[in-house]
Amino acid sequence: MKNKTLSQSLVKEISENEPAWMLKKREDSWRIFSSMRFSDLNDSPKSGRYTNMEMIDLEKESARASISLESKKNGIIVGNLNDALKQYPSLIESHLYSCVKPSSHKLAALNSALWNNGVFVYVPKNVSANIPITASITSPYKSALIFTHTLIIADEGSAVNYFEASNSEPSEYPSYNSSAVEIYAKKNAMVNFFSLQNFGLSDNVFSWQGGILDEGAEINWNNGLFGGKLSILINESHFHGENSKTANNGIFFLNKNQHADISTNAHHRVPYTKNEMDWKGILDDDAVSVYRGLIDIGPGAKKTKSTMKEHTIMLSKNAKSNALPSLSIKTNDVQAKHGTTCGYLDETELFYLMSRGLSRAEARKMILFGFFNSLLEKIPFEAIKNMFESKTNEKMKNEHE
Amino acid sequence: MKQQIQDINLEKYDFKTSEKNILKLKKGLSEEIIREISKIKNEPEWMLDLRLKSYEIFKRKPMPGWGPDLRELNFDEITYFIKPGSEKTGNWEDVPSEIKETFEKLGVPEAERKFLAGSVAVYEAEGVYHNIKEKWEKQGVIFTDMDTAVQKYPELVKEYFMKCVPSDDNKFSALHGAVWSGGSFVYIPDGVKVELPLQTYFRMNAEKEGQFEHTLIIAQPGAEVHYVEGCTAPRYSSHSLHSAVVEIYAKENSKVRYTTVQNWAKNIFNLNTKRAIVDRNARMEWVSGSLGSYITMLYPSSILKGENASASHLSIAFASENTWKDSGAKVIHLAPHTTSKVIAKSLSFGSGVAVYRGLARINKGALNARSHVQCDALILDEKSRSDTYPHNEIYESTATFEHEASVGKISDEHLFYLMSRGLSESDAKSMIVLGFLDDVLKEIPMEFSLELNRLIKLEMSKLGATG
Repeated sequence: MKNKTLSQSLVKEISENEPAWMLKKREDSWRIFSSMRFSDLNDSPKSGRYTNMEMIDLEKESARASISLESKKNGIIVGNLNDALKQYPSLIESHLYSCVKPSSHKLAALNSALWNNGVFVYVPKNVSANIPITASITSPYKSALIFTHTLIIADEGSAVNYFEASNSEPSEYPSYNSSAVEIYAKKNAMVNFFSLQNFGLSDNVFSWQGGILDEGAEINWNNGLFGGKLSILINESHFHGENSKTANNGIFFLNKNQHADISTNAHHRVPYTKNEMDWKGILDDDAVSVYRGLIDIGPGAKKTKSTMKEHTIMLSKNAKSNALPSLSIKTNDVQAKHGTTCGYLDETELFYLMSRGLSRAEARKMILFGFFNSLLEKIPFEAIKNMFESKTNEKMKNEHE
Repeated sequence: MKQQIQDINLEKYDFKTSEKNILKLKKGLSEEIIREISKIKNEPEWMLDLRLKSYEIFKRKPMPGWGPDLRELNFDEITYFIKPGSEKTGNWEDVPSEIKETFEKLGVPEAERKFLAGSVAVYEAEGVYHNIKEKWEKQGVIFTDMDTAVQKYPELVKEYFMKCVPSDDNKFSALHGAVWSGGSFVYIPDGVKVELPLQTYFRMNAEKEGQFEHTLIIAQPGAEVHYVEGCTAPRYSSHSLHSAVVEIYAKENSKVRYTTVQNWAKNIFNLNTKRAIVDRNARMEWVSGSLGSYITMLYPSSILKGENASASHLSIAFASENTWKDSGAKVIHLAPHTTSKVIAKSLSFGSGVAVYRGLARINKGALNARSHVQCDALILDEKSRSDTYPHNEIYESTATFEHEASVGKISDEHLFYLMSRGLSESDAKSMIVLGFLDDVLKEIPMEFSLELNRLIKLEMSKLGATG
């Protein structure tokens, strides 16, 4: 697969041993990618004002990420998505690209055309797998385009925990890491999703997470975003069944010249659905964050309860925080609100802690950990929580007084 | 309360008098028409140049690619200039009886007698009468219509005119620059405090008429002024365009309050640009009630240029039957210790769409700037819609920024409680709505808020049995 830049022949090559329907899906996606312009994206023609996606360098070879999977079997199917294409073709054919639609974004289309590795999880009816499935995704030591695609299907009444940690081999070569995660939560299923994005600080990262919720289903999204030079994260929840709900918690800690553009979107289309988004961010050095949170309530989606919060702390004079929350409400019997704040480290809080005998650095650390606690406390698994904490700690060490 | 609803004289809000215009230029826009307007007004060369330059920009600029659908707006179907059938006058007795009748129904003379300091009534496109209390004149306050100001104070006008909102700001400011006519000119000299509000009434009365008033307010250091602008217009069948520009200069230590209540007829495109430049220690307050019109796009902005400058934006928007209110506020912090507060309340009903679209920007170097933005929306029925699109750009680490927004409906519990106390459903609803709007209503001058109260009750009684 070496010495190939982007072209349609690459699609054929990747799809070589795959069923015909998969090749067709890829070719359709390729067509969307080639015809779509970056300027067609997102909410408004002005979106380029905050993040210029045309900056992403796609003139690279394609390479394969290595994924190591850890899971206890207890009745669930976990494996590589490429292998699963042969083993569970009908299951995949009917679900793949339903939660992340290639037509929704030029880069999502590119991922759908070219992914060459990924994870497949199927949880049968009424099976609950408490011990988290862990996927460690590592991009190779070179400058390349890396596409992964993950599909999680939680059948009726099932429950599953999924954790993915993304890393790059330490390298000075900038890569483009693209990942798509699709979660289909059937009736009364519950999926807890955890993601720790820790790609290299010279990488461009594009992540798309999409979920569909049937009646009574629940998806809890937990994201930690620490890596990438330019990181784009788009998270979408589509409520298809009544009484379904999502929680969307996230933290980001950016320093140096990192730029993250995060958008979380809740699309309420049926009555009695709930959504709570809560994001926290710390910006240091010349970091820039763009946070877009959309609450979209369609006609007839009565009794929807949807809220969004985003708070940012800026540690440096050169950091920039952009918040673009939006509400789009087309019915009346709903509760929807959003709030964003932006501030700095509170000197009186620091002073108080220092008066109790902590050093300035310790006091600062305590306040920032407290700030991230909204997410950290919601992680029920010590091992995962520790990874989030140590990453936060590591970022804080880079700080100067 | 029921009594009051029935007491409303509907005619008051919906009437027209027969058109008697001395001069009405033909429909559509061309360089020739612009030269004609300038010639009729006997304008200096630089103003004609500004008009022609604006027209070039207008032709070049695209329509906004976002917000409400403006395709129904046909620039060729609009008459860009009408001179009304009266000469300017300083004496109420000399105003033609037909025009007087119009104002009588709107309550202008009463308002003036009661508490107004001075009044420039813009009938159609030009000032019909102007009257300034002697006291202010002696202090050097200038309050006149814009056309007179161009003739009488050319240097002053030239220095400030379209410097705060330049022609190339957007397509409609360019159109405005080309064909502007009428409006008010307010100049408050150093340290003068105008205690009573200055007030104008705007009216549009000829079908398919564009009205392009230009308001220019200059508050010199230490000056204080409250400027009030109210609009009501009768109903017509085809769409009409209103595209005003308001420019406000609040110099050091000055205080300017700009209040506007807009109740255009439900076929009018209301596409305005309003902006204030706020210097050191100065305060700018925007209060607005946006009730009528078909489509409104209006985002008053405050540029906080000097240290300690502050701005507040309070607004109420009603998106009633099939109308679209796209409004918001822009606050741009450029200097340290600047503060801003935005409170926007909207009601949507009868398939109305209420959109809040705003910008809060704290530039690097605006140390310790503070900004608070709050948007609340109430949706009264299933068919109506409310969107909120704030843009919060914070580029300064010592800044404090807060934004919150909520959308909801009239709660059944509240309604039930009030009804159990003996109120009818529509009375209970109007009470809840009035309570929701209270933060802003109390800032609106008494006579407008009375009118607003009545209008709200009227709309609530029309809504029928269920929310």
